[in-house]
Amino acid sequence: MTLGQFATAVGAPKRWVQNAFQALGLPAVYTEPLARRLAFAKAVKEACGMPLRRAFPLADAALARWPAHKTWELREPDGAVRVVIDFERFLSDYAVRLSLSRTFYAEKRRGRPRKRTLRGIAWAEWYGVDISLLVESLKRTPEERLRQLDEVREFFATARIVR
Amino acid sequence: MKAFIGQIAALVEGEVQFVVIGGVAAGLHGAGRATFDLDICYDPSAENRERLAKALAGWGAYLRGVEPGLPFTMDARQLLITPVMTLTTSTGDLDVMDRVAGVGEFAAVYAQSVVIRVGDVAFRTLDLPALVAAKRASARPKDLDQLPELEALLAMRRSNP
Repeated sequence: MTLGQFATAVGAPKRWVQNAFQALGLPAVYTEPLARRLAFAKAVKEACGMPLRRAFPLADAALARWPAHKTWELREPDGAVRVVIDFERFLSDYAVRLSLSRTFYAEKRRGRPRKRTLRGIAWAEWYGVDISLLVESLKRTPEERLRQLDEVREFFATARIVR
Repeated sequence: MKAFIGQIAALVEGEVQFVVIGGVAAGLHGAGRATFDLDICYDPSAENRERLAKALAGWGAYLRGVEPGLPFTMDARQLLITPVMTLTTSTGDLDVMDRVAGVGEFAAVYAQSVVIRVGDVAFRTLDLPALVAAKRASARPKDLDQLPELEALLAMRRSNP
């Protein structure tokens, strides 16, 4: 994952992620499991104001409780419930952001075009091609793809702008 | 994948307020590139989110690009929390969002849209100048690469209204 994809999956600006990595002493290696942990720690931080340095170590053990448990609770020393996180809701929100990071997000092009160093799918992803659409397309038979192209052509041929 | 018109007609029938954007909008304005997913910008009002979520849930919408089996709840709350989604559905691939970069929120998108008719179905699509602004603002390589074609279409339309 790039920093931008990672930040999209976490649901935070890139600068927030960089600051979080610095605060947590993490190397700048962006992986999906780490994004899930950091997203969970961020949710805890936002829910109860717990510093990220305290929330992050809780994330692994908390996430391991799903799917056996539907919720995760953080309790005060006196036993009062401080925060409840609904795993299905948290993971659903996270899955949407992960999907976006893989299908929708692409780095903005700034400055001079850089020398091409990527090839194949990596190049296409950088370029902004939604690989998941190609994957879905390849699940269809050539006949289905041909029918689909015909339908697209027919759609555009019959559409009329109403002035 | 079903025809785009099937998806659009179902959304219109479900009284979802939306504007077609992206590659289908570009195609409607004459761009030559094939596109395989429908992109829409929807009115984020609570009632409309309910209507859209109901339609998407009815189509078995699931997230594109993630492994099957992750918890995913397609409801109005999900659209509120994560207003942009890339989905695969029983009617075809569909991207939904509540704003368009370079154009603005739904009200601005709606104000810069035109009515399209396909058979008996009437719906709105982003107009060409706004589509050019959106592609320019997105600034992704694939968007920037489509700009020359869209700007040419815009110039052709302006010279021959």
